[in-house]
Amino acid sequence: MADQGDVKAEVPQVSLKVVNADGAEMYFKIKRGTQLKKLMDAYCKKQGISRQSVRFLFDGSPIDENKTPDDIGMEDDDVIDAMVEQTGGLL
Amino acid sequence: MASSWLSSLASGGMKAMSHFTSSSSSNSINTAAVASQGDQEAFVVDDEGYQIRRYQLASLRGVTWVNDQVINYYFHLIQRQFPDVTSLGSHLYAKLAAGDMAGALRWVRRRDIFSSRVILIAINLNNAHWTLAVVDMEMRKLSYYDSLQGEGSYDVVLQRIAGFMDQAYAAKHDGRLPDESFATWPRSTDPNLRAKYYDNLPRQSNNNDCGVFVTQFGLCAACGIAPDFTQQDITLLRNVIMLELSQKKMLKRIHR
Repeated sequence: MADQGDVKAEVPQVSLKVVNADGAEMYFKIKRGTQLKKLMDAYCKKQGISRQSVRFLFDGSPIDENKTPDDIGMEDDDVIDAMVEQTGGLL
Repeated sequence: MASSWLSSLASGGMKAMSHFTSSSSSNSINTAAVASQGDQEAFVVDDEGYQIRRYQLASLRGVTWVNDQVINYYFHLIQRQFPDVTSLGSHLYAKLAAGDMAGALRWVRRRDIFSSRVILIAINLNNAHWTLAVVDMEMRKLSYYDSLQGEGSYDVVLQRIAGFMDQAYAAKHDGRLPDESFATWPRSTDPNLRAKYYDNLPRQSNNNDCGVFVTQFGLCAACGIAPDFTQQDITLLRNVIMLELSQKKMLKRIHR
């Protein structure tokens, strides 16, 4: 266990790439034990978009925002897709 | 009411979770409480990354359009009920349409889609219309479900899906394409088949219901039956879908 004193233990991190529907990429480095909600919120803030209008997918499946990179087995350079909300009735 | 649709599902051997009958009016299903009570922004569904807020669920009660969360979670429930059915989600086609084949292939790198009996791919066209492409691995055919029976989209959609399936196959087989390309599989829209399949689909008669049609097309494809519900059943089906989503499981269709 890490010392609780001034010496900070090295926290394992993972580098992730978020790609949007247009192919634009944004890189994030987050702690393996941090909920992915933090990354999603940061992405939306940087892009100036509403969280509700984006779907974050990992290998095509939606990401539970309460999960961490460790929880879903993410590795360095893994890609998260930020897809756009879709709707339909008929035009 | 579409008695044959409801009864055919009952005989399809679905596991009974709850029941409804075609004779019940939509009012007899207590979906009002599910949808209207409580914080409208709250998640009614928060399951494996699928999130549906109360107001989104409530939107099923009226005539509003259906969004991707509803479609994809519904197909997720179908997939749960039928282990040999795979839903690839509605965003796969967005990837293919954007020309990002590598990105689309990445989504199936950890999945064995080729052992599926049926593969469902919900298609969103221009953020306005929902349709469904189905790769029937058992019958070796490609089907397209469009509640408008439009003429403009099926060729390009099925061509893209076939191209994706070929590449996905190659990715699992050291780069070797399938002996028989998916592009050669019979299609429900082919001139010699469409009278029986494509032209025979239930058709929406308003400007709102295509997403609801797509959920039930998906369920029929999973069951291996021809869809024979009609526009008249949609009000009831909207309530059924709402109940299924909120209970996180499919209801059994029975008919009396």
